[in-house]
Amino acid sequence: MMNNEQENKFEKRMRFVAHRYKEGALDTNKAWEQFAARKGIRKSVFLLRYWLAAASVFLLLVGIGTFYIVDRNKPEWVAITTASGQVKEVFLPDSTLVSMAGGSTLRYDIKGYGKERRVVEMSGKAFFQVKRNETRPFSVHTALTEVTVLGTSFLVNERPAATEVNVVTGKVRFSAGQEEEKQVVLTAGMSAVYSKEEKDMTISKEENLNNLSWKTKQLRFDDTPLEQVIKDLNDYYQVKITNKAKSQNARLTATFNDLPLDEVLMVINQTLDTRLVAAPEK
Amino acid sequence: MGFFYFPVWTDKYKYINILKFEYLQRKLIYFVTDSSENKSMATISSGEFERIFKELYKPLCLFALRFTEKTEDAEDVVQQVFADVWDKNVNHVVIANIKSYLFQAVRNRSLTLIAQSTDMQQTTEFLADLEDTSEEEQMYQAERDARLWSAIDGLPAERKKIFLLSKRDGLKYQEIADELHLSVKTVENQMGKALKALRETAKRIYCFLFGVA
Repeated sequence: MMNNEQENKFEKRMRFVAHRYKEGALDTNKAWEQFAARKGIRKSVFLLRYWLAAASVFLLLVGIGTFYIVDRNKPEWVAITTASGQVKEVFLPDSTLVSMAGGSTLRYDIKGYGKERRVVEMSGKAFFQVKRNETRPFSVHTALTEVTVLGTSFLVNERPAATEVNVVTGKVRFSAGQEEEKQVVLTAGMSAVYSKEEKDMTISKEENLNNLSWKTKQLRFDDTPLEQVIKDLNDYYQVKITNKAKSQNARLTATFNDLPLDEVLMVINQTLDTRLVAAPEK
Repeated sequence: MGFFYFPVWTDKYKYINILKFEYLQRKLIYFVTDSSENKSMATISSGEFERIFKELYKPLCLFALRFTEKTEDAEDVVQQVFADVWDKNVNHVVIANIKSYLFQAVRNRSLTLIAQSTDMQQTTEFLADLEDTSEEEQMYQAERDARLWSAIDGLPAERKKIFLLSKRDGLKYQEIADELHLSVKTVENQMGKALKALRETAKRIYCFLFGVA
């Protein structure tokens, strides 16, 4: 879109340049080489500029690459939480089944899960039925402890003061403590408790029949001392039961299928001649 | 047309002297001597100097070509001016506006050169043209001329030859066709393409400067 004035000007300039034009003349690079040679200007500075440019391009690429890798490996958390009294069953990506008791949380990094290891973090109480995979160990982290398995089922109960692990099938490694690591290997039927205060572990070979009652909705007692019965009931119904009669050495054998607490207490009081009274747990 | 005022050679000298006086006046503003004691290093780094050299070499040569006929003379003048600036730089003389200074210096040296030369064929025509354009306009025009020069440089060999025979040597299309053993049609065609390329170059500069689509 050139107007006449511009066209005239162009014609004039073109003629001027064409008139003066000489093949191969006004070669800027050649002129600079001549000039630099005469004035003893070394080329290194010139090269340095290119080096700097190349280096900055390289650094930029490294930066982008790093960002990309970091971004790709950035964990993407999946978290599952249960309300108090709610029981939830969760399948992890490798079809490991987690049964979560009320007031528990579970989280895992969906990007990293199953890549080299299968790692979940949890608090509260959960029962794991782990899909067997010997190349990718499964581990559960709680605030203080770590449970590592290949493929078993086990219960983790994390309470503020202690963490308890009960093994139902297979074999697990239970480790705890930051500065002074304690480690035990538990097999089926064994359980271990790590106390935060004592910073130590206690292992018991006795199986507690009611570890999974929150899941099975069944309370079983087989010649169980009254003390333990009260403990299990407290746990299951989330209450605080006191015995107002003196009958210390009583033992109970019974099965309750998700009965209301009142009925359970009535049955026990009649059978063992006790006076168990429940007060809701604070 | 200023052209008519400068056919007499005595007038030419007068004109040159006026230009030189202007230049000397400017010179006072250009130089600020650096008081720092460190004399080993140049004020402008050699890398920066190279950048300036490469950016302005062609425009300065084309500016010189307004005064001198030969490209050799123009290149000599520009080399001398750069050498002078480099020496100043090494001696820590700071030049406030290096671009403006370079153009002024090229003008001055070119004028000196043609004043010394006995060849009366030197083009006074362009001197007259310079008189009524501003310093910025002169620099801008030199830069545009440099682009046109580069555009001619970039033409394919055959097309360039035809273009130069026509515009530089003033041959008619028929004469070019005869000399190169081509048809007139081919010459016309090649000329059209050459002019289009140069016009594109010029247009790009206009668009860049005035934002004309």
